[in-house]
Amino acid sequence: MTPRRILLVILGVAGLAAPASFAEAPVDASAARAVVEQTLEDVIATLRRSDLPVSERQSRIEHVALERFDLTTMSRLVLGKGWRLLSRDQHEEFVTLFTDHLSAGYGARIERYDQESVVVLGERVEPRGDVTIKTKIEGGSADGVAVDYRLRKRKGETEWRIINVTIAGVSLVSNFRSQIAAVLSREGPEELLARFREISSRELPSCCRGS
Amino acid sequence: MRSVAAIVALVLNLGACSTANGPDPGQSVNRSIFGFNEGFDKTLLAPVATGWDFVMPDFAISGIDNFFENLRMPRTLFNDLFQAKPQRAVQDFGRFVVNTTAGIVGLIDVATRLDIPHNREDFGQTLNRWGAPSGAYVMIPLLGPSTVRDTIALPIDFVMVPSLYGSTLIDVINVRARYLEEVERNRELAVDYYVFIRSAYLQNREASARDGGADDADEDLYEITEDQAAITEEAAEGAGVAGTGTEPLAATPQANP
Repeated sequence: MTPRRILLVILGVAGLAAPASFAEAPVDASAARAVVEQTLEDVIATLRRSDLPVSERQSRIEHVALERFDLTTMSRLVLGKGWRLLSRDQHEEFVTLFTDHLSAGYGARIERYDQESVVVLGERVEPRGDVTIKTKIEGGSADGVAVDYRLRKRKGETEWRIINVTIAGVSLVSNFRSQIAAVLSREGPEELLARFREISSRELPSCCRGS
Repeated sequence: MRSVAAIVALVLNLGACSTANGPDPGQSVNRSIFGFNEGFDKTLLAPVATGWDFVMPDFAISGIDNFFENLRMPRTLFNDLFQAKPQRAVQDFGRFVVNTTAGIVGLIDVATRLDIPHNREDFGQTLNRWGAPSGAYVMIPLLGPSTVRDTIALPIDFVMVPSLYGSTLIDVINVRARYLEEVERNRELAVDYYVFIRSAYLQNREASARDGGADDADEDLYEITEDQAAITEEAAEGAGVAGTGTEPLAATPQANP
């Protein structure tokens, strides 16, 4: 887009572009890409196992997802500034609740799988040393929908893990952050946790309701 | 030099007007309209759509969907032209011709099988391209989420879509029937469903305006503040929550009975 290009040129000229420190630490984007490719491969292979009952496929996919998602970092990101409002015990509980929440939401989509596949389009190194992998769904009812995965390697770790998913421009982290900020500012941390607990308690029957 | 400053100011300002967490000054009014829309959906639209989904075979639902998508192609085409996107205009014209003829008045989406991209443009995006800021987020009775700019664009979009007698009703019911489960699930999983919809709508609109180009993701979103990092590292040592990826995994089996 032209206006953005103009802005980039101006920022570059003004010397405000990314400081040299970003360039010093080379980011291995291909390793991050491999993580996403492997994850997608595992998930799609499981989805295609129509011989397995839905609940079995669901738990296998959750297993794969939970290995590849950095749920602690995601919990911090979705809480944002609200993190400070929670006590240490509440942080711990939040990570568990948020993990359950995502598994319920993702796991439940399995029944809708209709032979779509995913194409990895490319990768982009982000500030903070993160990497974004851009993909696109092909086939099925979500044909052509862009899905981007943002990955981060935590200090002292070797594995890239997913910290955000953006579907058709809608960022999961950003969406949760807005919702959480709204609840926190209106009702406070205890009510936020109560809300998550309540959702996970009524989500269980509905996730397994389908055939 | 002054003109450079003006460009910077303009670009930054436009960016600020279209952030994902856009302004919602009329939130209390919007929330009550949202409540009304939800009531309408739960008591009337969703039940009708459920019946529709029950009686109509899947191929009919997708055929009707293709038909109405095809009717919307002239709108996309006009807006491609308004936005000076000749390449997309050619694609969308091609799509419209192929689907109207080979696809039998649009019932079959032949164009997708021929790998013709499916673009979607509307007058709201054109106004955005022309530099109009999105303005406040507004909830419209029955029509749902919008912004001031997109609301102004609505009547113009309306005249660009050929409307057959009574067809809009079928379109609405058919589309609703395709998303019965998704809507139900999103409602159940949202912590604040009003904010969920607002955030999703505004982010998706921003992405549409970019045409899938590089996103100027809000980098602040990815920041972990010093005190956050310190606290979680301590917590990790104490409880093993933030350790390797396998630990949260062990904590989840209760999610599937």
